[in-house]
Amino acid sequence: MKANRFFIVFPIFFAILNLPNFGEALALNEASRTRDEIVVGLDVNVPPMGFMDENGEIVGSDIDLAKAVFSKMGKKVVFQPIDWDAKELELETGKIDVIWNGLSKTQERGKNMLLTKPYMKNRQIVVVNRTFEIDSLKDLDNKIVCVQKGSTGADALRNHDISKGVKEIIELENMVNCLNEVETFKSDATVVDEVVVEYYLNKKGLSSKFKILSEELSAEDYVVAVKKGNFELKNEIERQLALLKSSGEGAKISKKWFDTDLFTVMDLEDGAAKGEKKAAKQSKFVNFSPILQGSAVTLKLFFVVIIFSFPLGLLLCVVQTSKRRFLRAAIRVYTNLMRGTPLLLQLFFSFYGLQYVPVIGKYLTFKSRFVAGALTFIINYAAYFVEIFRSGFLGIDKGQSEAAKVLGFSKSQTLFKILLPQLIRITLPTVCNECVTLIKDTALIFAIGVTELLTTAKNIVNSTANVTSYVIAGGVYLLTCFVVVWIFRKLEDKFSFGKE
Amino acid sequence: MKTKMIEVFNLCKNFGDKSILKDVNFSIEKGDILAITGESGQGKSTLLRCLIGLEAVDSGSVRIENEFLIENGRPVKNQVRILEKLGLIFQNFNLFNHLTVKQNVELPARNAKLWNREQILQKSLELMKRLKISDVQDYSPANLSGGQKQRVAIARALIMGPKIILFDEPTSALNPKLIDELTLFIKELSNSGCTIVIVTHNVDFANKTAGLILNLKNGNFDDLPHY
Repeated sequence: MKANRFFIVFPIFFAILNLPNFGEALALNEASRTRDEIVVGLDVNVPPMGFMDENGEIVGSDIDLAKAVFSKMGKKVVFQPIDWDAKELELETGKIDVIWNGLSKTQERGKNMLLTKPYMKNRQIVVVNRTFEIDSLKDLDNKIVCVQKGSTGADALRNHDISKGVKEIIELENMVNCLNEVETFKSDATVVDEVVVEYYLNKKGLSSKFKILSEELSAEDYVVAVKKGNFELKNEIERQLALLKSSGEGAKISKKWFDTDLFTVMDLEDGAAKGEKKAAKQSKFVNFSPILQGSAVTLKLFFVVIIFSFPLGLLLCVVQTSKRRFLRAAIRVYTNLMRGTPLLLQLFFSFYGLQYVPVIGKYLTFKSRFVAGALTFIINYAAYFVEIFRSGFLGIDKGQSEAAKVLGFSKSQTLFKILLPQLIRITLPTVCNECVTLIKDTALIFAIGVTELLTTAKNIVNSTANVTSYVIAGGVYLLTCFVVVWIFRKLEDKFSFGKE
Repeated sequence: MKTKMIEVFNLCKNFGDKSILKDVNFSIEKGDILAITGESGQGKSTLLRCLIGLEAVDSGSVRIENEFLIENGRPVKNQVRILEKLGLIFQNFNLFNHLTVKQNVELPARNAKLWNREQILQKSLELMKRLKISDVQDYSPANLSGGQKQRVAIARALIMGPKIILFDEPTSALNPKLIDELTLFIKELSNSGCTIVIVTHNVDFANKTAGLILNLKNGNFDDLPHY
């Protein structure tokens, strides 16, 4: 009966979350804001469009433009830093009113948001390390290219023919990370906005380290985005931009940041609305095959970590019982270090930090993010297992090894035939608990750029503004936990000491 | 004259500042049954643990069948070989929790590779029959009564063929009827040539079972052995 009820409730739950209006329902807080306030969402890592200056204030060319436009409209403007990946969701849920942040016009974005006409031109270009022998797009064959997650640079690369020859495409949080990857040879090239990267490299004095390929990946227009259907706001922004053009104020702002006038406002003809209406009929279905891939990565990580960390923890625990004081001290330092620092920090350190360790650093550079992450997880979890097994050993009655000694068992016979089997049995519930924790901890590997289940779900939700993927990801985690707990129950029965 | 199976000379044992055994001396011959009686905390169990190598001693010597086990406070080098002649039944039996009754009985013989598999199986079946535990041979120790556990522990000790068997408080888990059965069994063992040392606070049981009784008080025997 219980199971039946579960299977009825679950689809209903799904159905509720799939309702097209769910996004609107989330946007209740929209009404609570005053109508005189406009919230502009932006990624504050995009100089010179929008970024934080030394005083922590948000400044930039787009900031100046937005201020000019909205002050003319008589509105107060608030700048809200957002997760760039989640920009569609932020608009859809009304947490922000406008995205104004070097947003390039794409078809995909036109479907999910309402875009103004272009106000500036930009190109997607390829930046490589100056020491590399990459001079044209063709040279990118079999190279590793990194892009900013959810950026038009990423789309431009994927849509371009060269993406077929590229060895691997790595997605990172922001442009600065991408440039850093190229500088430290982790990636061979990165795709970025021309205006953004030129300003950034000049400002930071990094131009000498990088080379910009003359061929462009794509040319594009910068636009402002508002929530789908909000034609009133869109038209008003376009009108004000045209006024800025004719008054010369727009050119002034452009020169302040770029030295030239990149400000290009087209005529005021209203053509975009048609495209918008067509786009509104786009299907709401979500493609779930990325979720499956993400699940595979998560499960792979889980099994690899368990398979290696469990025996490693057991081995180190047995070594710790030895009489060699040095070994005992070394293991104690290790367990305290691993348990006393965040796993997230260890992940960052193993992937980004180890290579800077003098002398041995060059042998500790991992090309594969998954390998670096899995190793960190194994070493971290083994530390917990050492302590679990240590407490398990303390829980075995001293009489067991005394009886073995009196019966003439050797030390290894006592360990393998008496102590370890009992240790496994005693620690099974705690080990099970640790495994359940690990299933969820695997999500942390996103921090070093591995796209696992949770990241996949997040990406899908952000780009479609439909939260079903979160529910599915949650279901996968839950199901895995159920299976693990069930297996451990069976093991407990198998290794039981009779009635206890 | 019979062989001296155990000889103890001037044995002393301290726990920190506390003196547990003070200059203990005794000896027993083949086939003897010795009971060491005394109140709790007088050092009875400690004496037994010293004899079987579970506790180090501070001074004194122990000889087993004319060979030194402990010489002037120090264990001899080939102690393991000499210890094979002794078996101990712990007060709480210390059966191996994760194994069945049968596995408990067989494991020591398998470890020592005394015989081949079939012979060990044969031997353990015989022993379990003799100790009336054949019907529980596939049980876990946790599912046995106190008396059954004791008989498993005895079978487990006997499979190694010890010449001397030490019992630590064997009556504590038994009812009067089972205590009488144990007395008979120990006498049977003695008749078959085993030498027995029993540590017990049950004077009645000691009188019925042992041919020789020593009373341990404040770490020493309070008078000469009485027969």
